[in-house]
Amino acid sequence: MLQVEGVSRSFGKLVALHDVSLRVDAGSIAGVIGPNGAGKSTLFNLITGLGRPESGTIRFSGKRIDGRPTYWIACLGIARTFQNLRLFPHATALENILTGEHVRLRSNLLEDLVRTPGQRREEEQARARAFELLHLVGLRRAANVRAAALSYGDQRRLEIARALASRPRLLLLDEPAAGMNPVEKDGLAELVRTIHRTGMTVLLIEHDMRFVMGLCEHLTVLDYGERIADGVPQAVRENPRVIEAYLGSELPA
Amino acid sequence: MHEFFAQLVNGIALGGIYALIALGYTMVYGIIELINFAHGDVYTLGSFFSLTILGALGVSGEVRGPLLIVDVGVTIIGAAMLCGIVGILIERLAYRRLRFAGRLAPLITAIGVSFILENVMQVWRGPSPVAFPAVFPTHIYNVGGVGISLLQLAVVTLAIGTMLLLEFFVHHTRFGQAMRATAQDREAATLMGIDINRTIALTFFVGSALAGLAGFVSGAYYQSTWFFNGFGAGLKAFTAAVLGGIGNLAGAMLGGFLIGIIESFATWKLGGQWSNVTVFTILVLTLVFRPAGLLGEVTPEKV
Repeated sequence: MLQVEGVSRSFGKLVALHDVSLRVDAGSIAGVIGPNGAGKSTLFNLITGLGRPESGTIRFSGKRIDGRPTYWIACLGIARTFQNLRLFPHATALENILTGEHVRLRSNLLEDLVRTPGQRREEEQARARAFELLHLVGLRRAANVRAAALSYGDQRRLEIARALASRPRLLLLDEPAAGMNPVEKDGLAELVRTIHRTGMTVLLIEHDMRFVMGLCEHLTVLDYGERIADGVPQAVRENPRVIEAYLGSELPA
Repeated sequence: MHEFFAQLVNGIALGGIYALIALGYTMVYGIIELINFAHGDVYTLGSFFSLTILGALGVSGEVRGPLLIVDVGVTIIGAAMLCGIVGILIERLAYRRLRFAGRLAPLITAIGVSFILENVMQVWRGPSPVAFPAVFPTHIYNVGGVGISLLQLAVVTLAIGTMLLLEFFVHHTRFGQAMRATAQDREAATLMGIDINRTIALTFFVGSALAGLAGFVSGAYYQSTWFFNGFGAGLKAFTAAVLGGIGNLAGAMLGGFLIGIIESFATWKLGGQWSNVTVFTILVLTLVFRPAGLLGEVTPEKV
């Protein structure tokens, strides 16, 4: 579904990514791990069009997407969350999700102004779906709370719901468990599994080894912008380069 | 007391014009945090476009009956559309490339665009004031001893009607939703599939169209226009936007009416030479004591 091939990107003298390749198969949960500064977020930015690679290609469903505008890639079916939340802080939880659905709505300005029956039906459907998504992430009762007023964990879940609202085929989660306690992390892993069961392809970036080991079917390890390992979690965990290069004593026995 | 109400009516009508201009300042600021100093000149351009259209329609004086609505309607829509297109062009040619260049470069560019527009208009229509046909019947309605003209009623109705339409547009249409999202977080908005270039262009279109509408209204109100009109009116409308809370639509409206009323009373009580002093003193006091503006805190949402 997603194919990243030989992608490089540097910022001045800092090489953020060097010749990185990655494949995500349709219907899988894949993870990208690596220490801080390994280039994980840069990789996500390139996939979502928030920057273009200096070399290499990125394909989604066979289409070249590297260097295309972000909104275009979003319309094609890739949605993401951010490591440091990027909700619309002054909008309510419901409005945040409705904004996420924006891309899938069809009505034009004139229809909106005269409120044609078709436009109303579409708006009702959008709201119904937004409530379903709120329900999915357990925020149904917070529908009319401003995003900024939600707890940190709830904001993270809301951001996932907002990403799903655009009905993506590929969901990118950038450190979804960051700052969560172990109980919240378990809840989140369960949520990701639930989303995956609906047929969604998921690619996530994570720090927490325990979290990805239990969740992902495929892992790619980055270190200083280079791919040092790639494979099923068990193989990656036993890869001497991974242990040596960065996991070290952190590796759970 | 009589004079008091007469001045109040004057101030409200004047304020309606400021409010229409202030909406454009506040919308553009809300979405790209730029004080578009060329906005006042788009307003002047609106009065010149109106003149041209009125000329083409053969209107040179008062119009009565249903023709009034047709002529005024065609002129307003024409002038608003043309100004909207000018607004899009300004954004496309002057501001878009500077979107990531910090705040000073676009600000100075805005001042430059203002000069260009003023000089183009001076070449086009000459350096002296130009007469504007008095399209509205001059009949004055007596409301409790205070004279109100049809024109004054029209100004206030147009301003408030536009404001309501705009509120609906921003809060209940997909484009409005895109605008609000872009104002809050441009990057996140683009990840929601929102084309921010288009959204920003649309914001400029709507804001500039409102300035065009204000240009027609002020031309009809003062029966004259001038290439340099937008400089002073623009600054006062900007003051109105700041007073109401820049980035806030209702605030721009409230600020516009307040500035109009204050200016009108200052002219009456202190004399015309003091009206600008009073208005800009208010700007300074607002910036010092309540930088977020009157409605800035109650509804912090931009656009």
